Formats: sequence, C-alpha cells, structure tokens
Amino acid sequence: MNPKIRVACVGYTNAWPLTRHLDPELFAVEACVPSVAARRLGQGEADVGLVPVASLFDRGASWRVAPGWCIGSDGDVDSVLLVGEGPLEEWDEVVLDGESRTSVILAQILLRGPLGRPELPVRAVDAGTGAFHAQGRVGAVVIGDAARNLPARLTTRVDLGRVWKQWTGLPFVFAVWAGRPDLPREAIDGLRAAGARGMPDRALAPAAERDYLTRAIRYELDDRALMGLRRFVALGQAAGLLGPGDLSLYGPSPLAPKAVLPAELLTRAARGEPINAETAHALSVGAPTGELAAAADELRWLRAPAREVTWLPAGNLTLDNLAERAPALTAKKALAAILQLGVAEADTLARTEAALRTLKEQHGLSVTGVGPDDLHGMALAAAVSPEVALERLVSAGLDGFGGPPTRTGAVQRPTWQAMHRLAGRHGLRGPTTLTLGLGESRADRVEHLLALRSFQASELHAGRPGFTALSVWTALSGEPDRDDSAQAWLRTIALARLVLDNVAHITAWWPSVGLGAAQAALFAGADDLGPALLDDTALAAPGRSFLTDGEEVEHHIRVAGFTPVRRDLDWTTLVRVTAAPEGRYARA
Amino acid sequence: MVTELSPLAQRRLHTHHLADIAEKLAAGVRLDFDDGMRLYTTPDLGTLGLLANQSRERRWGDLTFFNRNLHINATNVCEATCIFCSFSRLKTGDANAYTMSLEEALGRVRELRGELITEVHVVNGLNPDLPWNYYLDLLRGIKAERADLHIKAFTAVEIHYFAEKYGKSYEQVLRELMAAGLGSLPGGGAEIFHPRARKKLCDDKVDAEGWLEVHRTAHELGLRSNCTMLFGSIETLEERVDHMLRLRALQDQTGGFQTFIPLRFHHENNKLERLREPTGFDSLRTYAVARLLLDNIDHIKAYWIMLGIELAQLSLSWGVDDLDGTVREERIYHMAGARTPQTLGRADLVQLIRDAGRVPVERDTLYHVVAEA
Repeated sequence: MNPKIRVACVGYTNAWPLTRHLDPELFAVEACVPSVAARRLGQGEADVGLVPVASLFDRGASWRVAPGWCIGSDGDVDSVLLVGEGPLEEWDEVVLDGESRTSVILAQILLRGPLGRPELPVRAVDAGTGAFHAQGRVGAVVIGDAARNLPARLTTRVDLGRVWKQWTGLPFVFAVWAGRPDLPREAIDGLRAAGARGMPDRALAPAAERDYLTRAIRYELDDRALMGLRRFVALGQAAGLLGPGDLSLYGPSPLAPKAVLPAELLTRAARGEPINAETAHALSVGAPTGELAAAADELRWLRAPAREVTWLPAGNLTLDNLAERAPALTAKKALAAILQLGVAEADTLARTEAALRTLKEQHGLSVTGVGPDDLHGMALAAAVSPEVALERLVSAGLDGFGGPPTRTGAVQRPTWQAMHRLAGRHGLRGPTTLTLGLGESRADRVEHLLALRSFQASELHAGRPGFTALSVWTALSGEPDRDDSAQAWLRTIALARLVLDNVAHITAWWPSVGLGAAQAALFAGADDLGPALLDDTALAAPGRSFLTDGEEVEHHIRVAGFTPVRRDLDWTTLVRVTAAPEGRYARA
Repeated sequence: MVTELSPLAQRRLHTHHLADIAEKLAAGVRLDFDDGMRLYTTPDLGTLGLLANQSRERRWGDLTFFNRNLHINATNVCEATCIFCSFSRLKTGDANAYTMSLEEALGRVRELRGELITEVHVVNGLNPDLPWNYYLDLLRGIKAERADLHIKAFTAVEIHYFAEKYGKSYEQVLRELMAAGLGSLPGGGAEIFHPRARKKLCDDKVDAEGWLEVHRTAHELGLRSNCTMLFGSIETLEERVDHMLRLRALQDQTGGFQTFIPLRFHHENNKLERLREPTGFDSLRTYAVARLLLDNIDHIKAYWIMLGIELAQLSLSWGVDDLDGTVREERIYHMAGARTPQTLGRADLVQLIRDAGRVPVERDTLYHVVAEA
C-alpha cells in the first residue's frame, strides 16, 4: 500500500467542511495554523495543504492548486475587516495583524485602490493583536474570530470581502488546497470528494456558525473564483506585495495509460479477413484513429487498387423545382439527378413518373433518389402495391435506388428489406447510408454495418445486385452526447471499409464536414466522394458553405494524390480526368 | 524499432520508404532537410499522420490545450504592402481603414469583464500615424482594466517597425513594452523566411534575420514567444522546410519558442486571389511535418478559425496538440474570407476535443493549467 498523503490544514471553523471528510485511508491529516501549513508544505513535510493564497508565491514555491474547492467569499465575509475608532479618512496608520498574510495584502491592495488611501503607512504587529492596536487614529486589519467579536468602541468596520466584490465584481479566494506538482490523481480527487461531502454538513453547524459558513464563505473554486484569484495575484504582484510566479492548477497527466492496441485484430482486418461482431466492436472502441485508418487504407488498396477516387456529377431536385433545376444541372454537365421526394401524397407516384420522363427524355439525365420509404409511401398513397408502383417507375426510366439517409437500425425493418429486394429484382442498384448524429450509439453503428453486411450477402446470394456503396453521413448535430463530429465520421468510414467486405465502395459524404476532411477520408478507406454539384443549401449545415462545384471536388482529389474519376450511378461508366483544368494555379 | 505502432503500421512505414525516418525518430536522431522533404512529399498522408501522432503522444499523451482570449487588432492601417494580406489599408482615410482610439480598444477588454479569459492578443498594422505612447498606453490601460490578463502583443514585424520609427533598439522597444505590461510575443509576421518567396510576398517588411533577431532578443529578456509560417501561397515545399529549420536553429540557442502555428493562406480580397487556397491535405501534412521536424518546440497549434472546426479536430491526429481557443473577435482572417463562426464556446471546444478521444486542458499563455476542462 502507498504511504498516506500528508495533509497540513487549518483548524479554523471555515475549513472544516473541506477537511472533516478527508478519507483516513488516503490522507494523514495534521491541523495547524495557516502559516505553519504553508511552511510544512515548503519544507516537504506535507504533500498538500490548505494554505493561504499568498504563500503560493513564497520563494521557491512551485505548487499546484487543486481544483474544486477553496475558502473564499463573494461579498461580505464578516471575518476580514479593517477596523478603527474613527472614520478611515482620518486614520494616520494601519496595523497589519500577522496572522493572515493574504488578508493583509488584500487590505493593502484595497487601500491603494478603491479605499483611496494609497499613502497610508502600514506596520506589522503580532498575530491576534490588531484590535488592541486599533485606537485613536490607528486602524487595523483584523481577521478570524477576533473580527467577529470586536469591542464596541471600534465603530468603523470595513468588510474587505465586500469592498473587493464591489470593486472587481468577483469573489475573493483566501485559501486553496495546494501541493507538490506530482501529487497523485487519487489525492486530488480525494480532496474534491471530501469537500463535496462536507458541504451539506454546514447545515449541521451551530446556529451562530451556520450563517457564516453558508452565506459568508464561498467554497466553490469555479470560473469566477479563479478569475478573482488571478486578479488578486496579478494586483499583488504588480504592487510588489506578492512574489513572482504563475498560478497553475493540477491537470490531467499526459502519461495516462492508453488502451491496449488491438494490433492483431488490425492486421487481420487489413488483410481482408472477415470480421465478426466482437472484433468490429473491439475495433470501434479500442483502435486509435490513425491505426484504424491505416488498416482501412490497406484494405482499400486491395479492394480498389487504382490510385483513383470517383465522384458523381449530379444534382438534387424536387418535384416542385424540377423545371427550373434540371436545365441548370445539364448546363453543369451533371450525369444524374437525385430526386428528393418527401412525404408521399396520392399523386406523388404519377408526378414522379412524369418527372422521370422529363428528366430522361428532355435532359438526358440518369435518375435516382427513390428509396425504400419513398416507394412504400407513394404506393400506399396511390393505393397500388409497391410492385406495381416500382414497375411504373422503372418503365418511366428510374435508373437507381437509394433515397434519403437511413437511420441505424433501418436494416432490420421488414419494409426496408422488402423494398430493397423488390428494387433488386428489377436490377436497380444504389448506395445505402449510415448517418451519424441521429441519436444512435457507437455500438448501434457497428450493428448497422453488420446488418448491412448480412443483408448484402443475402441479396448477392439471391442473384440480386445489392448495394453499390456505403455512404457515411454525419449530421454534425453538435449535441454533446451524439459523437457525430468529423473524427467520428472518419472512424466510421474506416470501420465501414473493414466490416463491409461485400460492398465495393465506401463514400465519404462530405458536404457537412468539408472537402478538406474528405481528403483525410481518402486515407481512411474511402474511395468515392459521392454526388457533387449539390448547390442546395438544405444539405449544408447552417453557417457553413461547403457546397462546391465539380472542379473543386476534382482539385481536392488531385492534390491528395489521386486521379479524379467521374462515375455514373452504378460505376459502369468511368471518365478519368487526368489533366488539371487550365488557367488556375493549381497547388496542394 | 518503433514499438508503439502496430506491426501493420510499421509495415506501411517500409512500404512508403519512411522506415529509416521512423527509426531516427525512435532513436532521438534529429531529422534533416532531406527527411523533411521526404515527409512532405510522401503520398501517404495517413502514415505521415501516424508518425506525427506518435511524436505528439510521446510529449503530451492525449492532452489537448486551448485557451480563452480576446483578440484586438487596434488598427489596420499599415505601411507594408504584403500581397497576401486582406486586412491592411495603406493610409488612414482609405476605405475600410480604421484605428481604434485607446478608449475603443480598452472598451473591448471592458466588455469581457465577466469572462474567464486569461490572455489578450494584440496585433496591428504598421501605422505611421500613431505615437509610441499609443502602444504603451494601450498595454497599461489593459493592465489597469484587467490586471490578471496576460498580454501577448506585437509581432516581430511590429517590434522591428517600432525600433526603426521611434529610433530605438529591439531591446529598448521590448523593455519599454515589458514595463508597460507586455507578457509575451505572438508568432506572426514570419510568413516565409526564404528570400525568394519573401521578396515576392512582403518585400518591404522585416527580413528573416530581423524577425529572428527580434525573437532572440525577446527570449534573452525572458519573454516567451510563438512562431508561425504562412503556407500555401507562392512558396515551394523546400522553402517551407527551410523555414522550419531556421526556427529550429534559433530555438536550439534560446529555447524561447513555445508553439509553432502554421497559418493557412486565404485568398479572398487580396492580391493573390488567382491562387487556389491550400486544401485540408496540405494543412494536415504541414502540421505533421512540423511536429516531426521541430523536435525542440513543445507545441503545434491549429488555428481553427482558418481551418474550420472539422479539420481542426482531425488535425489532432496529425501532430497538433493545441487548438487556438475561443477567439472573440478576429478581423484578419475574416477579411480574407474565412467563413468559420467567429466564436466557439468553451463547452463546444471541450466537446470537440473529447469527441476526438483527447483530453482537453485549459491553459494560460505560458501553458499553465487554468481550470478543469
């Protein structure tokens, strides 16, 4: 067992909420007056102490402050006063009671500042004798119990906590837990835990103390208290009242143990060995991002050996804006249109048929965008079977199957599966998706990938075409519990490459994360950037402007070291774009 | 042998002809110019990232630093004519030219009274119309307003300009500024040191030797500073490596640099609009190369304002251990077309770092821990 952490702390009333629950298994506590606590710490006789703030800047001190709790005030503190018989304006001198150097420095700073007596001489006197010396035109700093039991003759009583608060708007911090820089984490946590347990005990204090402990003393070492502390230190140092040095809290250690690298799993995954559920979850949780990406990249070169990255020149449109958007798409040399259908109404099927004919015949575009829920919904709304609905769409020219991004778990839905099988029977192909940030857990994502793999296997086994690609989307919700950041997106792309051994392409769907992040994904298993020319603001998160044209996409592919390839919906027609466009100064 | 990497990653080092560099790194052998070029030109961004990440984690584990600060750009009137700049206006009175009165500048500090910022970052144009006292009064005013703020102010370019304009040595300028409250120097104005590129980019501002001399002087006076490199305009990769090695050489002598900050070139509203901006690929490899070459500089910082928060987050796997924090107001990059939001809340930044699997640490300018994240 480790030796106990030696704690030097103050026996004052205001300290006991912080000290009474110190775990005796962990700490050996010695009570002493503040200056002794600081000295013990300084001489290495204690590991940590509840010490006056001023002592942090003693010569040679290089202590860290423990986060969580302190002894402070936020207004009247009752126990740190400037007192005198007459008004402060008439004093000739102030005596400083040696018991608390922090309070004494505070008094000096306030006299020079808001109290307006910078010239007033000060003189140190013995600890505990301040009130005695405060006579006639001599004022005194008094602290602690003496300040709370003053003789009646001392009619001037200036609460320094109040003056500080009025002047700075901030709490004041008198004492903090401070200790040697390498104090173990468990000790720092133990100090915090003791304070948390002690706070409610203040209600149990005798009535006379209760008000003092709950109203006058402020124990939280939070942002505001820290700012008050920093302000005090800066003012004290500027006035030459505090020694030099910087305030530093204990922080997390850079040497925190790392999870064991799943090296063997990574090697096997990178070789293309089938990954079981256990391995997939283990990689999702335990593989560092760079290693996960490296394994996925290895496999990408096995599955897609050419140094090429595909993208689909395409645009999205709705049944309502089709007339206006379709010519724009052809003008931009789009090969395909992606219909966004929304909630089906009775005429959606008929309108979709008409749209297909227009887009195919008048604009020469391939058309996709109908997904399992779209098909099911429009058939239901038109009171026909999905089989009939799909036959009508296919004869109107539907080229692919896809639809909006799916939630994790979609694969298990019978309708989802039935609609995909139906589309497969008509030879329709398309990508499927995994969308991050809709409330799913990391484990849900892995399960989604595994379910997609099973479904794809059954489709291929039945002789149907299956999915062309998995496209990884992220909602970038910004919600704290969703883990749908760019990093999660990159990891999911890598994991998808490793898990989905029967889906040829992994698409880095980039409009929410930007083409720069998409370049990183090209080294993490992705070989496709999906559709671009998507100048539809609905697809970009608010405040972002990641939408771009095909030229930008190809530039990003090229400078990352790949040849851009324009593909069609099912990768049957590939146009390699070897030459950079002229007239632009192309750089990485 | 690089033991922390998986066998798979080590095999990839061989495949990409980086194994000897990895061995040098493992043995603590310093990389040279040719190593820098090979790292820069490796086609495998992923393996480069693995090496840089290893170096980052050896230093800092998962710790990822950020700070909360206020940026003040007190004037954009600037005699220099750097062609990459969208911020400066040549003369007072030019369209969009501004110079804050001391009261205005201090008002920005006052507005943030209630926020736990620990630093104010002041960088300005080279304004011929301001007296020397303007700068001293600015620093004193900030200290009077917020004694607890660390003032990181004036690039080496400004220090050089002050010395010339007011007839002082670098040391005199720095000593007077320190007496007024200067705490450290930011790293701006380094751009690209190599004379070929520097002549094209910013012929009329301090040369490489002057820039380095200002920092040397500052380090000798006990100031810490940062250093930067403007990448992605007209410089070559060789010039970038050369730039990093010049910084490394000074650092060997003084040890005063804390952080290297690669600054990505933005092309809007300046004379280089015809140029493409560097892509994410270039940013990530630049962070990685910097982490590996600059073995004597503690931190590599990404400035999310110019990178976008997504790429900034990914950069934490390419050698970056510091994200420039919750900037309050930033004009220089936004005048050059940066579209990122101007502020990111502390909670958002902490979340971004946690989501990257890293451990956020709020720091002050000198990398002391300020608060629990």
